[in-house]
Amino acid sequence: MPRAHDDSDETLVERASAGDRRALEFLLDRHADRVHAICRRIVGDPEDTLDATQEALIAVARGITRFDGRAAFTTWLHRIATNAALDELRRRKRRVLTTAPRDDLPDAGASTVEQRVAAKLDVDAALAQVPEDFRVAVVLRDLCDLDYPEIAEVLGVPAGTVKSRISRGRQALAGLLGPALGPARGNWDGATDVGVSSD
Amino acid sequence: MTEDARDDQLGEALAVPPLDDITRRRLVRNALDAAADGDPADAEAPERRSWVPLAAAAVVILLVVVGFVALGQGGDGSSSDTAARKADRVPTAETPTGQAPTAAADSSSGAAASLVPGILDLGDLGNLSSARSRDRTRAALTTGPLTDSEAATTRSNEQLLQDVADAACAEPLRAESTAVVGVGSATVDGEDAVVVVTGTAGARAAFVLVLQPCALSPL
Repeated sequence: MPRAHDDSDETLVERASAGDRRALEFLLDRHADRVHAICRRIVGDPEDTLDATQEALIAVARGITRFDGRAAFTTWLHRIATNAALDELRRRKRRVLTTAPRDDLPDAGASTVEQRVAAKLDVDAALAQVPEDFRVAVVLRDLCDLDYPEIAEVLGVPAGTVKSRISRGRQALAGLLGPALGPARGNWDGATDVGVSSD
Repeated sequence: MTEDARDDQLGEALAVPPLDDITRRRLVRNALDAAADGDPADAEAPERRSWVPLAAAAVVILLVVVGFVALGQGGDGSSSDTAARKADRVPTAETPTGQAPTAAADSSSGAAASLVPGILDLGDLGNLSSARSRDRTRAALTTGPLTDSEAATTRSNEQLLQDVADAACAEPLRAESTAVVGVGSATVDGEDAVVVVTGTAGARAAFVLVLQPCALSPL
């Protein structure tokens, strides 16, 4: 099973760069979930997400022989995943960000699965309303746990810009998700401060 | 520059369930195959492109021929065919008797493929476009005994479960803690859908998964 492989990323990258297809398979398998998660939260639409994930994995597979190791592999991977998601978003702009606000959420007695479905839709709807730049920064920070310099490298922007985007993205999401993030959150009261649009 | 700590609560809200094994392996395999095929801008491309004008011409000729044939038949054949196909797919749920669906299926459609043990085959649940039909179907599936459809189905529960595995929006149904107890086919606004029943005998929930475009919602 590919997932059980114990080699480090560095070892696998080295072998994959040298043409070891098995090593590349292990590498892609190990990071597919991460790539998918980034794409999912940036793109929004699940079907488009799979397309973006596929494009990202293909880009990694094709580009691994040219990976020069100047940046960490994970930084390179995040950049590819982010760019694939943004490309997908631009290609299919009309199909994305169309999640309408739900007024038919399950009641308090609903099953756990129902609640999970509803919660997931809430997150999707909230993310869809956060401007793309802020959304990407928050995803890389709070979902992927990258630090500011890494995010700056992935996005090709100064660290100060990263900090600003994360702050404003979080603020927007707190306002949109509200109680889902806890009682101390959700006091953000307007979209104009951060340029939130419904796209 | 000082960094704000990761927002764990937000991170948790943004968390995405892992891909199921089938999807992940398919994505990885496709990527490996694409890499093995090389870059699309390589030397093969001009050769492929040389076929494009010929293929386009063939398609145009075919369309013209088909158009003439259709005009010769008065132009009403295709619509009746469509209506017949739709009638084939429709519905136990929209029956004028107003009875709850009984997971019946089209018995003339041939035997089902192999079935997955332990997951009930609910059969064809019909057209679930209206709130009324959805309410009736939900009630039938979430209360009282749940049994296998006695009639043969057009798609086995194995095939329907594969649809659930392939649909990106069906992530919540693939969570390890989600116990799927039965699946059936349906249509919603003319689109193929899968009805999934989860839970146990005491507390069941039903969901409808529209396949194109992918959309999952409580039934």
